[in-house]
Amino acid sequence: MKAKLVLNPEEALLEPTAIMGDEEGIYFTFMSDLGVISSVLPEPLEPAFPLVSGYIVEIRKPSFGEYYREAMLGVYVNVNGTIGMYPLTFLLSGPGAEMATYLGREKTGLPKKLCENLEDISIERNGDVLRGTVKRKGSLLMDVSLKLGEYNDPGTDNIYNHPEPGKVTGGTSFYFHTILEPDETGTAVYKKVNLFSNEAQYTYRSWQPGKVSVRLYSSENDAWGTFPVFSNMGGALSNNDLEMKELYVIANPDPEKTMPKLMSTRFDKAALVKGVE
Amino acid sequence: MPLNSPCKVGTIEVKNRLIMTAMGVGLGEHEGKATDDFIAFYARRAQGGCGLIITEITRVTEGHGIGEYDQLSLSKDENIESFARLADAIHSYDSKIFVQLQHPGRETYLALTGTDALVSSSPIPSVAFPQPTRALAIGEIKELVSQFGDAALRAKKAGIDGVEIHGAHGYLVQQFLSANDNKRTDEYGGSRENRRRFLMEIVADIQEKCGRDYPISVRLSSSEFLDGVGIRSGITVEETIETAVALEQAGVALLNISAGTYFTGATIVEPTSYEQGWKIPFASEIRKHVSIPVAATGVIREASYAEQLIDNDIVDFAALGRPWLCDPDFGNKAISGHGDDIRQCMSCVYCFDTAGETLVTGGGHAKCAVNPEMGNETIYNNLKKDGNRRKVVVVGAGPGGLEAAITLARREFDVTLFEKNTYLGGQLYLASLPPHKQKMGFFIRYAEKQLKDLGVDLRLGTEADAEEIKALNPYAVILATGSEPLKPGRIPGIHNDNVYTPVEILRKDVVLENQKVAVIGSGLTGMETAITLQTAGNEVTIVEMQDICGAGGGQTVIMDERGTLAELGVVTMPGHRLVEIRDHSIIVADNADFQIEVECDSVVVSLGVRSVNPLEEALNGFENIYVIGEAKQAGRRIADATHAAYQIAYNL
Repeated sequence: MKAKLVLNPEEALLEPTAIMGDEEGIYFTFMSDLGVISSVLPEPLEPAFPLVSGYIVEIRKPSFGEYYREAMLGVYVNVNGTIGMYPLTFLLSGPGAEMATYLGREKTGLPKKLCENLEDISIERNGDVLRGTVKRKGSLLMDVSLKLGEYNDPGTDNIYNHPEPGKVTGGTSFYFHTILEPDETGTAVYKKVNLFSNEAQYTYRSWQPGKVSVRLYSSENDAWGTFPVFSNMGGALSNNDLEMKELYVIANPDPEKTMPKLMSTRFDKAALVKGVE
Repeated sequence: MPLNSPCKVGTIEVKNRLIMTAMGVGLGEHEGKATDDFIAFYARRAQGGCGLIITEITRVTEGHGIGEYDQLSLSKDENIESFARLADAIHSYDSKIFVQLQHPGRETYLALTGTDALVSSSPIPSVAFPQPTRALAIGEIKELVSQFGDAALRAKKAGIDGVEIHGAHGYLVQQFLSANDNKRTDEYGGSRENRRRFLMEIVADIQEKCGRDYPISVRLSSSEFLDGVGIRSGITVEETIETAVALEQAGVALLNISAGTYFTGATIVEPTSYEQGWKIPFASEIRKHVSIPVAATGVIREASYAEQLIDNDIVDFAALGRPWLCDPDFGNKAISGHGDDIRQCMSCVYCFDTAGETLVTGGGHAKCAVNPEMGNETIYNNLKKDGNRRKVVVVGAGPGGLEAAITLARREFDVTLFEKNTYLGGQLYLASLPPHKQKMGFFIRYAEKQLKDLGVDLRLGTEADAEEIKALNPYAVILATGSEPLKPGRIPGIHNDNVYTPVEILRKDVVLENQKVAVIGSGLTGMETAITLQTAGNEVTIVEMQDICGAGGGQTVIMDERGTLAELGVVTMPGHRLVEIRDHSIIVADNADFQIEVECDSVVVSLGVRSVNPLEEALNGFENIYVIGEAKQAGRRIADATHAAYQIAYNL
């Protein structure tokens, strides 16, 4: 059936559930610096641990489109006593990346950008060794290797809540949803920021721990090298379904204070005010 | 007001303005009695001129109240007798003693408590050592309050002059005081008044059981400094002023002001980068709002500075912790105008690290890097002056050589000290060169004066040879010739012109500027070399074979160094081993054996050291030859050298 320009009211609704089905790839965690983590957090987020986690995965059966690849970097935060993940930045590639980016940004406020080519996000496997790399506009941003076996640090299993095949775990994430409107001079400005809390559910098919080596780099447009890697904690090759569940507005922080900490993960330098370094 | 002016603390008078603050040194025993070693340790500080000694953390209840394996305990009557012996020993020097009552809350270990969960005001685990944690029920809080009072009564029965409630450093009382930790919605949470209710009830219970005239000190953290790490609900100085005023109104006799919590641990036990007196302004501000005496802690290292605090009426007591470990005679030397003879604490945190090593298991005690007598007061209690001017040669003026020379000279041996460099201190000198590390030179400064005062024949810039030593016909020779940096020959390119050692960089034999530099190895020396290079305008990448940058070092110092690396923007690559050095890059292999090329102009190899001991064989046949420190075994710490040196010099 071909697309229509005008939908019925019943059709003009976003699908309430979003499932990243058959998501497979490298998950990793490293110890970084609390001061650096603290410096990137908008209010009211507070740092919970000096840890940074991330992943490079292929989402083979998303409920909202074709397959795509995705990389993420996030930190652990405390919001009024609730500890959760604050994903700072996402990069996506592949046929389903466009829709995943639109949905993620508009619906949930996810800081997503697109890579040009599917292979900009790649995972190669050779026996018990994997290597995931993320490039954008020709610059290498993330390079993670994983040797399957044991975590670098045995405590890493606690961080991931002891995943195993068949296990279902939950977790809270926090996102900033931003609303851009023209002001009285006709200039588009951020008038409102919503802080969302989002419950997510992971259903694991497999979780194979391993030793990671994490390398992160920054480019002109993407500051993925912000966090120093002081200790490789560990990672895993995982296959799971991830379902995004309830979404709540839990705060409306001041846009002026918040946006400087959000813009570079949403826009490239060319889109920002010129002449400002 | 001079340092030796007396000061009233409630109903008692302290003879001078110097307090020894609580520090766990591990000299107790598992049942919580004060042992002979423990009493000797504290008595030595009283003998050395400390006005008021506050013991280390003392538990008030068993189970979840246990904070250390060999911790003091006043949870039972049978321990009173040993505390009475402690009190008598301190009183024999006209000093006073308080026992610090503490509950660790969530800042302990299940291995110690034997419980299913640790307790706190709220079910929030420790950031430092996360373990299952539950909130105390109201009935349990009431019981704990009463246990504090019971413990205080036992202290009083033992003749202890007063008690201190540990309300600082992130332990249970602070876990109630801090809105960041305390999320309760009952009468012990919410408002400031509610959050300090636990503390106020403890004060009231002690007063009820011991009488209102029994002196109570409360140790408080002026600030948790959580705003520095982006947390807005931590305790601030403004809130602590309110607590201080409430405590004064309740009849507390002394406020002992420190700072910090476990999240900001370096502000509690500061590594060497913290400036002298950095916390004093907070205590001074609090003092403006109360009329009871206020003691202040905060890297007080020099006698002249302590004197200034009292003389200028900034605080009522100079409260020192680690300096008393380093020099038990701090008080007498400071008061008698011999401050430059004090063996100053370098804030190297070795005492804290060594105490931590056996905190859960017991069987060991804290050690000081430059005072081998510390914790060994029952062993090293009679330094004989029986050298009879016999000649002793010491080769090498690193920490071990210096300690040997000083101790032997005190024993009235005739000491000749050879040092091939034109400076004293060996690796300690190098350790004092990076930015913010100048305190590491304190021991060198102290040693230099002692060598001069004791008449040691110091031959700087003189490389001793066997013939020269033989010509002196020494009774004994101590070889403390140290070590030299290691350059593993198996690495291709290791001998290239662009490869240097940390010694060359730190000593400025080689100056690198505006270069990309790879530092191989992230031990303390590697980190400090990287900091030195980055500060000088280079772009530094640290490559570390292990998965942790700074593995093996003391965690307080390592965390501090990591903070500086992050601030300066040094790139760190743990889990990568050096494979090859090229002209403009290095090749490293990661944990999965992937090889990565890292661009760099120069390489600094900080992969450890090897012993230098050229004289032992040449002096074969001498009866009393001793090899100490890194000359004996590479990779040792300052204390290994100084302690071995002292032991030999004491027993020679």
